[in-house]
Amino acid sequence: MRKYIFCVIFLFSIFAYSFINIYSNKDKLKAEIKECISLIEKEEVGSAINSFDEYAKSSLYKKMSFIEMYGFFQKLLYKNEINNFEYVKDKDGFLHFTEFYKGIENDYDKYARQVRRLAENAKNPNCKTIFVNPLGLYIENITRINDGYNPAKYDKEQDEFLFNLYENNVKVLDTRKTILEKNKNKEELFYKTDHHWTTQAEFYAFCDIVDYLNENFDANLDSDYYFRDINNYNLKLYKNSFIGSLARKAGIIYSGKDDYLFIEPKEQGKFSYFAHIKDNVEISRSGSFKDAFIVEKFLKDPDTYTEAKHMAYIGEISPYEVLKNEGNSSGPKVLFIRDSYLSASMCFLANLCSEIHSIWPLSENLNFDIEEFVEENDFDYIIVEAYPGNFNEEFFSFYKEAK
Amino acid sequence: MLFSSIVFLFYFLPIVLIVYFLLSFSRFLQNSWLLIVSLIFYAWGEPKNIVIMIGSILFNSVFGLLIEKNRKRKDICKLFLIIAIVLNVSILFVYKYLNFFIENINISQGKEILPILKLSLPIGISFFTFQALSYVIDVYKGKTKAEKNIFKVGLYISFFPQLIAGPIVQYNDIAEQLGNRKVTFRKLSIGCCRFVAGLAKKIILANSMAGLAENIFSWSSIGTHSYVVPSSLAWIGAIAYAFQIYFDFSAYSDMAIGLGLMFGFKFKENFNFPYVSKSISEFWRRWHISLTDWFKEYVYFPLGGSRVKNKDHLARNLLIVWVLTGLWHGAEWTFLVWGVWNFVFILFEKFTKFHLKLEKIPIFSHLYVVFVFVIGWVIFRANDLYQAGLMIMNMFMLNKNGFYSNMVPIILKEYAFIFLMCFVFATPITRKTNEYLMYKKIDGKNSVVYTVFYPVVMMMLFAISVSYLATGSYNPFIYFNF
Repeated sequence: MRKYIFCVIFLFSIFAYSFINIYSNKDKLKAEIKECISLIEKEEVGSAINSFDEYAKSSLYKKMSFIEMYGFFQKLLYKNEINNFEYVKDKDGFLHFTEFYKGIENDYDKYARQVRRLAENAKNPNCKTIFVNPLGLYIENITRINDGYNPAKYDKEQDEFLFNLYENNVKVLDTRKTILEKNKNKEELFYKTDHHWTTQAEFYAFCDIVDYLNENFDANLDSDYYFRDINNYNLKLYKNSFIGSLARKAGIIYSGKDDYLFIEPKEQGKFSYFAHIKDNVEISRSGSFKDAFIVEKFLKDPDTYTEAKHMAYIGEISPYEVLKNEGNSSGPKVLFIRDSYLSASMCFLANLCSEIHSIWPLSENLNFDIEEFVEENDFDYIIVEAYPGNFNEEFFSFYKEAK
Repeated sequence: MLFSSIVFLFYFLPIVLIVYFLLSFSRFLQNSWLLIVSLIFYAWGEPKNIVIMIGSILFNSVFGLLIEKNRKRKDICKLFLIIAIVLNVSILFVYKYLNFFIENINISQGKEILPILKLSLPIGISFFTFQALSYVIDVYKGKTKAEKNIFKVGLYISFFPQLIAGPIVQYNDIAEQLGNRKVTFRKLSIGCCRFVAGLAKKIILANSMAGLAENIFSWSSIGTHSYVVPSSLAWIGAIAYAFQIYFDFSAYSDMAIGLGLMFGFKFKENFNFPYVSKSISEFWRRWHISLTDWFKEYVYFPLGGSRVKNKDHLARNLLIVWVLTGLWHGAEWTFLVWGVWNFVFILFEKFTKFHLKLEKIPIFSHLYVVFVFVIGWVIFRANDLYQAGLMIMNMFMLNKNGFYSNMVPIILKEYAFIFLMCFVFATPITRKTNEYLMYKKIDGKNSVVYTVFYPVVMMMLFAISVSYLATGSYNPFIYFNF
């Protein structure tokens, strides 16, 4: 009897769910079938099958409910690792990537020389280059996790790279020290479900960059200390408002939601923002700080599972971006060569600059040569930032040879 | 296509089942439908290899008929059988073994004498070739008549539930069912239960163990100069792989048997709790039973089996069977050595009967069997003999690698439940519990609670399995390449 009951429930479930799954995605399914047919006509049957497999996985009806169920099951099992140690959770609930074996030997001296060549070849002979070394999610003596979980630790790689930068006379701002001097509370520096900095940490990084440029290059930025004073900003806390990329495989039940602190200057100023995303896809916005730099949809009603709130500052990183301060034409012109860190810091820094240009070397859609760009544009400062996971040939794609 | 995939569960299976039951008025149409969907199922993995499958169906059908037609002319009959065997084995050899031979010839000569051919291994080629061989040999032996309807031969060779991972069905076991089978609600129900139990075993147990084994074997393969794998960690990896291969393969057999039942077919069991065996001979009577039976029927018995004049012949027959069994799994020296490893222990048991003495103290006989199969699986799993040696040396602290790893307590803590379930489901405990609960009577009635509890638990297992698939968690399948 028990098997008969199960059989009826099971068959009803798979028929009903399959029907709903197909019906709820009918438009997507039609498009996918069209795509598959066109691939088959090109005699790419294998690609058509792979494409349909991917479609089936990604468009599963109520997929996130299943992910939540998975997370709930992992929680029931009292697990601190997810998907075969792809991620681990520390004692304070922060999710970390893991790393068991570093198979890649990076040539840090070569990368350091490449960074040095940026200033050497810049159009402006007085252009200064600094490397901003980001504070990583695993913080020695602060992160609490049992031995054996192997969260990704990058201090050794960072130290080796910084050593080579010093050897090549490249100035370095090591935010591992500077940010922790300001605040050692990890919950205020990192999200539990994402490896990016909180807005607060981004603000600290902005202050550190300004301090560093002033101390080392007499930049004389923010001389009245107005923009480095948090009291001159409006703060808004969004409680339990999003999950970051690290939690997308385990869901909210397992990882919990993160709070989000939004910071915007009280003095809104006048700015413009431009981003080249890919061929024929560009974005421009202008107006106040909020109008130009803040993508409201990430603040107001983001998809909890796919759109992290921290993308509110200029949205997802683009291959090439320009932040202009229309009210400060005499300010310095800065180039950032970076990864997905420093988005908010750049926005804060825009208050003190005339123009900030940002290049994301890892993008396939970057449609110009970085070397030519550096040689043709008159920058006062070039700021390079790379998370250690991006210490690779793809990021350091510029000045591989001396000119 | 994998059974443990979204496409199979929510597109392929419901459509196949609905159309199959709508065609209930005609067995011919039902079989034709199953043949068509089986070919689609096969083509989903590697579309261009569908030609090999169709070719295999065609020429085996033709040779079956030729043998049948010439039954009275024994020489011609034998000639057709030999041609059919040569053709089947040649296809298997070319796609599976030729490059292995070329590689080894080149290595032995120290230069590239012959170029490596760009051939992709057709999925499940060893399974469907053995089924095709079974068909022509059974027809030759007169165990069954040649099938005039090519669709039935096609369905026998390509039937999707057992196409890519068995069980290897012998033709005479299924010939009757192809044309005359009953699809009952009882069969359908048992089939659904079996399928879901297999799916859960595969996704929750086998895949979890697969991740562990994959990590530890890959760390071991880095080499001790760069990455030390302490003994305790190496043992965890080896045991995890032993569980992975058992739950992966037996789960696939469960799903295949379950799917077969849904369509009215009854396949023989392929596993019978091999890890509780008290000898290696017993292990192989419980592990991949359909392959063992196939070799017994078509190789071991024709060679004389155990009823031979002297022990030399017995040893020779066993060696042939075990070398072939090893090579059936793949064209690598590791598989050959693994086959010989099993042969050595089986021969030793046959000659000395020492396992009978061990059986008096069951713990010793179990430890002996576990030791032999765990080491055997390490050889089987390794990419080459060097890696196998490295891993085994790690297990026995012969690489100056020490014993303790700080990862072991973490792994044991994180995988405590999964390991516990692996131990439980690798033994007949659940079957016995199930039987106990099923027949336990309270006040003269079967337990109502269990009747309700069972479907709920099974549906939960199904939902959890789908949740693993939805996250895109690690989902390998070992026997795909065999």
